[in-house]
Amino acid sequence: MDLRFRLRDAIFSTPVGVASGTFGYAKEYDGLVDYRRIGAVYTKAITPEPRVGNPSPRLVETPAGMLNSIGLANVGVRAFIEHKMPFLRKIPSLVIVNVAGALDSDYEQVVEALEGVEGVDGFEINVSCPNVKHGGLALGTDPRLVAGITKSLRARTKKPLILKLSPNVTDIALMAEAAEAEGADAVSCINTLVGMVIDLKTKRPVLPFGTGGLSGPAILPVAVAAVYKVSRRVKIPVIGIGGITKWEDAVQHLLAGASSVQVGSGTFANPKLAEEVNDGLLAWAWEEGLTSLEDFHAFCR
Amino acid sequence: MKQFDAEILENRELAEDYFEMFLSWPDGVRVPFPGQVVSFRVDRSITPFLRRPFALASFQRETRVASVIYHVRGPATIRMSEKRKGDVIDTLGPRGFYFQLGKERNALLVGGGVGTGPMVFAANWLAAKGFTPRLILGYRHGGLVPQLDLLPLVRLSICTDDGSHGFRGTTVNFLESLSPDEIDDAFVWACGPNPMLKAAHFWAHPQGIPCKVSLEEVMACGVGACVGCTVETTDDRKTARVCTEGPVFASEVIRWT
Repeated sequence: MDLRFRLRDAIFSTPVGVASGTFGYAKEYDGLVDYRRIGAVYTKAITPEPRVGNPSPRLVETPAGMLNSIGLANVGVRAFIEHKMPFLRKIPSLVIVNVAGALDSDYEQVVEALEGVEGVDGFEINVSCPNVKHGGLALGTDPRLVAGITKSLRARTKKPLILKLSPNVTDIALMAEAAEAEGADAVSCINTLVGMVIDLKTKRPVLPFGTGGLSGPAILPVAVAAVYKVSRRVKIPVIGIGGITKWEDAVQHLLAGASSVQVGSGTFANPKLAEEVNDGLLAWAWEEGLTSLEDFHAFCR
Repeated sequence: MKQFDAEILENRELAEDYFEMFLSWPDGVRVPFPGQVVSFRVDRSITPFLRRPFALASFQRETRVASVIYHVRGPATIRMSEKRKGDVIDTLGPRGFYFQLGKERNALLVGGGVGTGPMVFAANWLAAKGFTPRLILGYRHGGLVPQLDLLPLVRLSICTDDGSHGFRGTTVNFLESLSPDEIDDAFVWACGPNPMLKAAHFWAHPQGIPCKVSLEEVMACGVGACVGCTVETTDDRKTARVCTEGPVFASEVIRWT
């Protein structure tokens, strides 16, 4: 059985990674997880300058999920290289840096700063954050803008380039096609869905800007449908994210057409989720006699 | 910090909707200090989805038994209250900065509601060191006043909003009633609702009395990764994560709003 997945020089040794924003800079989980069983760590979104993030409260729990409004709080690319990369370099997982910004030049700056940095195995471009006013989601809802940013970053990196897509659009596959046409190596989908919780005591939204990003088991069917749709419309690999809290959920993503998956906020409840999903899905594939990603993809064609 | 299955040794009601859960603390898990927290994954259901953080209320070194005092107020804590002796609970901890002594010797410990647990832990911990801490606990009414196991050196003062038990008024009203002698060489440690912590800060700080507060925020990961449980600070950091830079902070570091 070989479920390894390759993007340029990066070989994902297991099909399960940990999603950006849910695993910090990896060191936070040191001592709690076995990094050998995590194929890839997708870092917290990195911007050129440090960002404090949004006012609190930043979190609210919802039925089978949660909303977040973190606002891309991060240390900035310089501190990331100096203080976060030394640990990330030591772990066996691939390190895919999630990149965010307000302007195209922000993304370009981060990718340029990290292109020559040892231990950075690829980039995941966040064109889908619902919690910032500029860039983020606005960028990810227009295929021309997705094409533009992909083209510009492709010219700046030889490393794997993954575009992380938003479900908050009419046709997510249009964005995937735009990314593919300009040389993206893969797309990951989905980022969080826009959601709101209103507090009956204050009669106002709980989160400071009203809406936040919905994640958790509630979004699994939305994510599986997006993976199914996108994987039919592009030839580049699709990385499935959304709603995975057990190995069976990851199997659904792979059967829908994903070549790899990321577990996200499920890690908050269970730090060992990525490992358990990895072990469970490998055992299931073995029992079912599925020995390659092509085998997984054969059923839903 | 470790993740472990803690065996529940006892789970008893202390007052109306307030419970104390006693847990076995495995060898190899660090000894916790007052102010530190654990988070529980109450069960494997997907609603509620997140772990729940609780500050520890006691730790017995000889028997390695820890406890938390919790308020039954939602689906997670209802399920916690249904757990029985012999059940296990997925536990992550101990976590966070704890209350640390300065040079002052006159301990004024202020707690209320779910802030009761860590202040009881702090009071007993100080009493075991030979302090005679004043433990000032506030409740809305007498029915909420819990039965507590306190060492003899702990001086307990109960405050109720309606005067149905002990001092009538808030914990900070009680602080205000203390004589100059009683606040000589004093320090304040506090845990409870934010208005109480804010009032404790604005009572202590102008008089030069060191004040430390333990904060509560909604947490997702509880390990510093998600950056969800932040509070605004007055220092260069601008914000700090309650789970990692806290939960105990010097009160002047917090931007009180």
